[in-house]
Amino acid sequence: MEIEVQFFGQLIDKTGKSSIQLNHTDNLVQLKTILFAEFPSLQDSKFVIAVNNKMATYETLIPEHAKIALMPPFSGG
Amino acid sequence: MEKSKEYILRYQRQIILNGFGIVAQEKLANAKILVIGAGGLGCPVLQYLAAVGVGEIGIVDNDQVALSNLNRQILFDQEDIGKDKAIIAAEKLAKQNNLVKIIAFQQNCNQHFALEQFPYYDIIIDATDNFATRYLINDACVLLKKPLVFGAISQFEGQVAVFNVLKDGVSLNYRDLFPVPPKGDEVLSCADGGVLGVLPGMIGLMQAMEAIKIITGIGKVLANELLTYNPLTYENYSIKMVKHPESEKHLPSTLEAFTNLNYQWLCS
Repeated sequence: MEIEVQFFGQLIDKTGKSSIQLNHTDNLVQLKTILFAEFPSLQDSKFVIAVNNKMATYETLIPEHAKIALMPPFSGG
Repeated sequence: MEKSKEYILRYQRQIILNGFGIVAQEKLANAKILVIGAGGLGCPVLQYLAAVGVGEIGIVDNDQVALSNLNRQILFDQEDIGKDKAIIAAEKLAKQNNLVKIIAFQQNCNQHFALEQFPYYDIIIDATDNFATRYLINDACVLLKKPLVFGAISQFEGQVAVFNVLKDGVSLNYRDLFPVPPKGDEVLSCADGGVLGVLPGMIGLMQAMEAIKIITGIGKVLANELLTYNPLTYENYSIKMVKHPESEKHLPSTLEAFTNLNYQWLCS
């Protein structure tokens, strides 16, 4: 019932990981609480969360074995 | 209009391409694209849009060529150091393809410039390197209803997206992903984080490809979708966007509100 959370851009530097496995959690609020507890620097970071390649909103429910992405904005050019 | 022998021969390899043809070529020739930024992303975008025959190309950049640009800003060489980027880029592109019209705007893209120039063009390409300008361009494109091809890089990864194009009844923009910009020191620039020359080349070419798809109708446009690409592994991650509940709240709702917004302060 694990879910995978993948980090992109500078979130990899901030967390020290490119991806982690977590126990399944139902919704984004719970997921954020868990992530912020494990990686406090995420609290000050901007990112969009995608669940199975679709942008998540507050109502999004996380299915089992979901692949989650935390995508920050890039600005370089 | 009957096209010259020169035109037909120059684009012959595209014209004979299955699924492309003279009709698509004509659409390119009639298109007007504004490229904001003649740097790492802008150079490859500009070179290929000129090569494939986009009829009119505007270039916006206020910078001068620096030695540290040359690992990736491939329109420029060591004899251009200190010269105005938009002007030099326009000269080189005009030499590259004498059938297209190139206009140089050696200035920053501010609100006044956006309101004055964006309406003339069919597509706006964001090839800039800072959030203040990116949010300004995004908001202008929403207000003026212009398709926006977004591209950005961070160390070894790049992002590409197309905004303000109606797909499945929905037209989304950058603020649907990130309603507010990060704080000034939150995200690395190329100067701080570094960049390998090839990466902006790849992402810039993807931006050029998106513009060509929009104009000609070939392929599948990345509308309402953010593609993140890592050429170290060729892994890519696509995010299908939805309307963000807070995007409207932060978008200036009128041209006057847009003009009065201090984008530098917003992103500091």
